[in-house]
Amino acid sequence: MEKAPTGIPENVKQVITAAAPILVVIVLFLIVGKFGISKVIKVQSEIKSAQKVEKTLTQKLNLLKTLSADISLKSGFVTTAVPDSNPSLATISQMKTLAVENGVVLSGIKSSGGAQGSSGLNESLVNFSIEGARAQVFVFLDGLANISPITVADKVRFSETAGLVKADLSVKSYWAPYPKTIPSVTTPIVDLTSSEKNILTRVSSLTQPIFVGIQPSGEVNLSPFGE
Amino acid sequence: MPIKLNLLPPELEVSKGLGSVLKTLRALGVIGIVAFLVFGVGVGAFFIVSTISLNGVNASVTKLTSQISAQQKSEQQIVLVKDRLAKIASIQDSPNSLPNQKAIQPYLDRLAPTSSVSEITIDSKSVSLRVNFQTNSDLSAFIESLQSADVFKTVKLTSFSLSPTAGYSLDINAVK
Repeated sequence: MEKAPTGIPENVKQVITAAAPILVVIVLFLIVGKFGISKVIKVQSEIKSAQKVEKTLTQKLNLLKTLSADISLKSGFVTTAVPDSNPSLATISQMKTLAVENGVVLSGIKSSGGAQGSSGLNESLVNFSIEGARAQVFVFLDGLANISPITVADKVRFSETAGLVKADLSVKSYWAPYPKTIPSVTTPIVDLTSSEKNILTRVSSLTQPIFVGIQPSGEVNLSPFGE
Repeated sequence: MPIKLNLLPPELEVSKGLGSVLKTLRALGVIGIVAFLVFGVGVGAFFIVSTISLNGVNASVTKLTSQISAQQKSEQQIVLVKDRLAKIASIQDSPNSLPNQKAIQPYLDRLAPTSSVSEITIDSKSVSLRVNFQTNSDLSAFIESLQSADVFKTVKLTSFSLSPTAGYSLDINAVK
């Protein structure tokens, strides 16, 4: 075979010329495959992630719009049931109201700061005595389950003489600090479960404490020092 | 008869077999370039469409985020309500003397007028009571009612005394 002037055999030269485009195309396919496809895959995964967030946010917004109508009222009931500070005063006020309603005499009220319970709730302990007919005392004790702040009779000790019952009670009320943080915007919120709704209905039906704000009578002297 | 002329210089002439291979290679090269161009344009177009779609979704997410931020007060209240409800649920599971009180109350209501309860201690675990009976039949009726109702799983008679004037006196500890 004759050799080309460059020294490469003509057959080889022709094979190289014919195969070069194929090799170039293969290399380009590899480059585009490696960078282009990976870019497209990345964008697609970003779209999926963003769509997931969008779905979560849409659900969250719809739920917020649905619940916001009466959540304000509901939050009032639950924060009275388990407030963020010691509810001893409200509990004692409720006891007095309950005693008057049931015709029993309430005395010897003692309140202690209480301790932190096992469930992370702070407990406030109120000890007192009630006197009355047995039936009335039992109605009073039943009434404890229907007052807010939530009050639980820890121990009851009765002594009965000639139909008159004296009961020494130890009742617990609970309190806990409010949550300090709210979840991030993208964190989904779930609607109240059926058991939570049941608790909420029950809590909403509890007797709320009555606090009377005493208004100053007559004209208020803005300068108490007479100047 | 047609005459076949070969005008190529003899040094550039390739064999017949190699010629067909070269022809195939050149055809494959053209097909490859066309395929690459189609592939490249396709990938590019898909990338552009995907990017536009991503921008659209991101814009929607930003809009929703601002709308949710505007509802922050509602979200705070929901978080608060859920937190309180969880705490109330744990209170409901805590020890309470009310079930034992409700359990013993019917027995006390059914006591004969001549009988009396001098002492009752109720807590979340048990009920302890001291009951006084004037007659044997009242005592039997009370014990029988405790036995037949099956409300209390364990009933312990911790003390029993009889006085000719006061009658029977029982100390009972009952556990549900």
